[in-house]
Amino acid sequence: MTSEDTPPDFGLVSPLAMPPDSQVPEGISEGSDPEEYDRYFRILRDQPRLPDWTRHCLRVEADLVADLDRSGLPAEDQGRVLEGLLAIYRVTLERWLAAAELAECHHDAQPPPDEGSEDEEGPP
Amino acid sequence: MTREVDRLTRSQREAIIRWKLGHHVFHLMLATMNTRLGEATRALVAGEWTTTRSALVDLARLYDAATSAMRYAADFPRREYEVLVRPSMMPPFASVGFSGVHNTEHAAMLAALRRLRGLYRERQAAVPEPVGAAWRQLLAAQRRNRNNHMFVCRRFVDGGTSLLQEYYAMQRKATEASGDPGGRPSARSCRDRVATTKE
Repeated sequence: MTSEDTPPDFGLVSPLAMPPDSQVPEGISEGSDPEEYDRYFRILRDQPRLPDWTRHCLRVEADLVADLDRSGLPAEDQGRVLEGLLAIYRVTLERWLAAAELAECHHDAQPPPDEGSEDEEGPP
Repeated sequence: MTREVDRLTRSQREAIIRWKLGHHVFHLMLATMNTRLGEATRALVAGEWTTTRSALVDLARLYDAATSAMRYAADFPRREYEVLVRPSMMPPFASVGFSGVHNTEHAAMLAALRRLRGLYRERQAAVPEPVGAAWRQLLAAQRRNRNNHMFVCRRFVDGGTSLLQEYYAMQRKATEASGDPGGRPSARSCRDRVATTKE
């Protein structure tokens, strides 16, 4: 059995549900809600980071482009959808650039390695 | 052993994929719009007109793209909507009142756009013409989106009534019938009424 197969706490403790507003819930919901909408449309709310977001964009774009020609969507609409994808990629690339520039800043701010420290013993 | 998916016709598979993939595209566009709305708001308040204009132009483009993405999502025969897609959003497969109003990204976008609209009105006199032109483009794209929404509703449902509108109509009828102005129908009665309406 790998560690991935082992449930948290060896399966001895059950999870506890807490309301999003951290208060005791009021009444019984009889109607639909955003959680049900997300489940239906397979929307995950697991805080994707920029690489995850980018992977999802690429997957959705590939699936869409593969199907667009087969669809009956007029060329004008197809063009608008593709323009929208370009805008998504533009914003995503801006975020990548900002992240890269931040990483460069951190890298430049690191003190240069001490020339005399090469022979010193590093951390275990 | 036959898998469930193998029992679907090609038309049914396309309907399911387009309905949900189209919504995924829609959500990506909405999240991007929300990002640009934040930038537009900040730039407008700071009087950074080039950035404001650029964000507004992108927003108008994304609004039109979202409109077309929803047309793609609904690009399948009405029959598949009636027998497969709409029932999947109704009891017993979904709760009563299932609706696009529960789209978190869309709700965030509308709230951010309302805020931007208020700020824009306050600063309208100081806004340069290129920014004003981009603003008008955005409002026109929003109007096209609203008109298209009705187009999609009417394409699939006579009268264009959504499941949520049906739910509210049932609530009103139940309230009138009970004589209790604050009364609500039970989930069961709503389900029964939805089933009746569907038939």
